[in-house]
Amino acid sequence: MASDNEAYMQLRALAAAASLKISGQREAQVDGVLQSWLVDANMLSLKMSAAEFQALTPVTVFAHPPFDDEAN
Amino acid sequence: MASPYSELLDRSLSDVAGLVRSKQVSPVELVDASLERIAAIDGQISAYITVFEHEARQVAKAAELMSMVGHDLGPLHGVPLALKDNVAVKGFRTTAGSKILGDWIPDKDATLTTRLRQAGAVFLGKLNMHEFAWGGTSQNPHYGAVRNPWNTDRFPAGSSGGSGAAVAARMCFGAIGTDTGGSIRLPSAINGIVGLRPTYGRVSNHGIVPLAWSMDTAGPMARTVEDCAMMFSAFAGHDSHDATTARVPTADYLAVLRKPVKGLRIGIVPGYFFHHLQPPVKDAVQAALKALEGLGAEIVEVEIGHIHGNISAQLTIEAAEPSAYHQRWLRERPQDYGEDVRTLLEVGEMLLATHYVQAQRYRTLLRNEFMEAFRHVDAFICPTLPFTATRIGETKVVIEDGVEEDMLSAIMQYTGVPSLTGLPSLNVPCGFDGEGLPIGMQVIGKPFDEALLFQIGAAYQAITEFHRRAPAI
Repeated sequence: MASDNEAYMQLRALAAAASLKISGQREAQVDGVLQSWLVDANMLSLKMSAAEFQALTPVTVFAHPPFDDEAN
Repeated sequence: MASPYSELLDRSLSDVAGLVRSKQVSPVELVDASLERIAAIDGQISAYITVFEHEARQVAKAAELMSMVGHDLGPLHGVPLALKDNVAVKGFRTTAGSKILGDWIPDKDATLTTRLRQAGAVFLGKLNMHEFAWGGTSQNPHYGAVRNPWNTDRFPAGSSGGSGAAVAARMCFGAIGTDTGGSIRLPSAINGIVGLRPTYGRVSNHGIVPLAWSMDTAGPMARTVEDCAMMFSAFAGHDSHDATTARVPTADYLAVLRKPVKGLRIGIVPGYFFHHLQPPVKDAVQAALKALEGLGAEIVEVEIGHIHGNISAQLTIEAAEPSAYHQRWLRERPQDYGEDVRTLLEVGEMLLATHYVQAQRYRTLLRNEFMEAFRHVDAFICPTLPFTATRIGETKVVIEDGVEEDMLSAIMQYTGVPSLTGLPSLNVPCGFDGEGLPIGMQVIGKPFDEALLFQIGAAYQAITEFHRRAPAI
């Protein structure tokens, strides 16, 4: 069985990359959610990196600036 | 047995608006009855964070005086409404259900607040919610867990749980909710009321505390489709203060309410819409489809090949965007978040940029599929969520075969689709389970076609009574 130090290595690396401090007492809670979401996110990334979807562009928020007479 | 509250409170919003207009009822009577109801039962429900007792009475008195001299402010003249506490009201605390904004007093109204005021609404107060709208239970660690008026041991869903519970329990005639991943539709279904998530860009988010910018919307919650249409008419449309609002003309949403549904084609995706859900929910929604078929609608089976994967995309986007908004507070005041929201914000910071972009590309894929399907159908109908109200405090839910599942993922099974695609969707009550807990169906439409959703919902409510039942509290 992995020690806590090994079990949370990925969490700690990702938290460090984000300059985020996660205390030892909270690691199990955060890691539980993170690991489950990463599995699904990686599956979706695998799907979306398929050749058939190469041309798809991401949804983004498009801003529509106000007309001059609306900018009040 | 006599009702424990004023008979007026059982009237619909549109009914009381008409009674005020014809001077049969005063706005003061409506506000007094609502405040009395709040005082009597909100200790058991925790739907309100702030009640505007003094101000509501003052505004109602002013509305009464104006009415007496023939001055009509608009279609909502003198009608008591309440706002989710992430919608800014000038001069009044707007907490977003958080400790972090616990003392924030906006110096401007949200656009939606202004438009409701201009239509004559009287605000009763601000409604409890899941902290910062990031969650579906409304178990708020700072302002109390919102409880479901149909059974106070059960949750009201969320994040607009206070809005759903207050409307169902007759503590206001209508409420505003906000919806990113389902936060209007879920509490509407679970509390047995109607709620509209508008097309993305149809309603201004100016002055509303954001959750996830690319999916946030605000909309009406009330007991009937007509009530929602009336509220929506007051605030839908382009806003120069919100660059994401579209310049698409609004429709006459009340004019469509009596139009027949005969000949409309309603799409279902059998392998997804009626898969993995509690039997009473499945039975109720299928019965509703039969009822619409009886009115002349045609039910059409449609394939949406890439619908699976939507929950992960939803969670990834809904994790990453709030984590960007909260980045400073999460470092400066982490202890001021509830444990669940803090965890989600931390996880959102640790997903990769490619995860987020692939999720956004998936949205394009899913939207393209739905837009193609709309060549063959006018709307879709599915359950709003796959289960009925769970017990307060549960983080897991059992949908089938005794298997426990994570509540957050399970609750978005059907609401994530419109959220990702930007399509409008309407929850309409369509039944109750064996324990008397409400069930809702979700009607999904083409972009900016809210009018058709109201048309279908109103036709269904004209032949059913589910929306007329009141919780026994």
